[in-house]
Order: sequence, then C-alpha cells, then structure tokens
Amino acid sequence: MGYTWSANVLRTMNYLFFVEKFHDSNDPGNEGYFYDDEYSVNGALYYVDKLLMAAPGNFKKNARHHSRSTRYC
Amino acid sequence: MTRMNWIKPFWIISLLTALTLEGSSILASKAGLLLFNDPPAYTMQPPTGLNWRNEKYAWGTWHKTNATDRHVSRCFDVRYQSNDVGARDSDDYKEIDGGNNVAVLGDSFVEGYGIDLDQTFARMLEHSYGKKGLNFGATGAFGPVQQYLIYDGLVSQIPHNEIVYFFLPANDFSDNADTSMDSFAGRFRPYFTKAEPVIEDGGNDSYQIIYPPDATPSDSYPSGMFGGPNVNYLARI
Repeated sequence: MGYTWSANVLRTMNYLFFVEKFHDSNDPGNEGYFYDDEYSVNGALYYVDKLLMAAPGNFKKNARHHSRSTRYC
Repeated sequence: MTRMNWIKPFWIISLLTALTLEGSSILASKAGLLLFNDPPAYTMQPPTGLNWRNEKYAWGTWHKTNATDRHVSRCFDVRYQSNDVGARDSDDYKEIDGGNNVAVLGDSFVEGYGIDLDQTFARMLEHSYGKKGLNFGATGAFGPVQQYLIYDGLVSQIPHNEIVYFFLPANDFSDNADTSMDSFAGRFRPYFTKAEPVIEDGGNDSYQIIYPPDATPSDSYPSGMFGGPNVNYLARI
C-alpha cells in the first residue's frame, strides 16, 4: 500500500525491473530454497523435538532421530 | 525573463503533471492494469483482519476467544471466527467429545489466512480423514518455540490422539531465533537463545526461551502493526 495511486505505477515498475531480476539472480536454477544459518536451524529443531516428544503416537520414539537427521544446511 | 516570471508556470506545470499522473494511475489501478492495484493510504481502508488477534499468551500471536473479524484484500474477502480457546473454528474445544481428534499445528497456512473456514486444512482433514481436526494454526510468524509452548500450555489439555505438524523451512528456522528479535520490535513473542549444554541430555546444546525486555502481553496487536514494517511481514505469510 502506498500513499498515492501513482505508487502502484512505481511498485509495478520496481517489481518488473528489480524484483524479478533479483529473484532470478538469487535462485538462478529455480532449484528451491536453502537455509544455511546453522544457529537458527539447531535452535528451531531443538523445539521441534520437544514438541514432537510431547505429542501422542508412535512418532514419539523416533522424533529426536528424525528431526536431528533432517538438516537444511 | 525575470525570476518571478518562470516560478508560476513551473509550479502550474508541475501540479498539472502530478494530477495527470495520479488521475491516470487511479484509472489504471481501478481497471486492474497494473501488477499492484491497491488503494492508497488516503482512501478508506478495507477491514484488515487484525482485530481478532492478540499477543497475550506465552506463545505470542493468537486469537481472542469467541471473536469474529473480517479481512478484505485485493484477492479475498473472508470472515474469521474463533472458539472458546481462541482457535479458528466454529466448534468449541473445551468440552469436545472423546479423544479421537487430530491437533493441527502450524503457521498462517494452517490458520487459514485469507481463506474461508471450510477451506482450512483442519476442516478438509475432517472431510477426508473422518476425524475432527483441531486448528491450532496462527498467523504472525508463528515459529517452533511458539508451537511448542502452545502445545504445552493449551493443546495438551484438549483431547487428541494424533497431531499434524507443519514446518515451513522458509521462515520457521528464523522466526524464533533471538537474532531475529529486531525484526519484530514491539511484539510480545518468545525467542530461543543458546544456553549451556545439558549434562542429562548427553551434553548436547540446549536453547532457553527468552522474551524481549520491552515487550508486554497485549490483548491486541500493537498499533504499529497497522502502519509499520510488520504489515509487510504479515502480508507475505
């Protein structure tokens, strides 16, 4: 949302001439999203583990191994 | 030509140019000719769908109990409804029958941001799986620490024997990292920070939960959500 209607023109031009190019250069092969911040990954999975360990069902016994073996970096 | 002679035409031409540009932009936006056709800030704003949300519990973003709200955007017009525990559902959970239910946890796409109740995953699960889906999804950067806390503080008290857990790598790794705290300034939400290894846990790393020192629980979203950077964040999740 901009402050004037003209902002829609600027946003359209910005998207066409900048965002699209940025997207292409950031993901040249369109191969998907990769996350390489190991600190965030380990911290997030720590709490995913705690959640799954508290949840009911057979998944509980494998939760830690499953999530720890899935790293996105 | 003296100085006074060209100032007046300059401003007249500038004003006419600006008015022509704004006028043509209105026509182009109304006709849907641009990629972005949103009304500007000086026009009447449509319902934002933020009034039923709060950040008063340990897990941060959630919904007021038994609340309704409307959310109008360029591509949808939906109504939100919460039940007796604040979950997006027309059925109450406190007195729900039996334990043969599925708790569904996740971010905005579990809550059903921008879609009708019947199109939410929990409702579709009921139709295809035959078990009641309990919708514990929430919009507003709802990450793993928050999902653990809501499970521990609310979901575990509601009868269920299965869970479906949605994890979005694009933002769930960073949503609750203390390194992201500045991105959500003013909001009451938990973060993890690295702590000393726990001996009983085999000496593995552990992460403790912290809250921003200047944030307090609130029964509404902070006013900045309506005009600050968080609006843009909400819009893309």
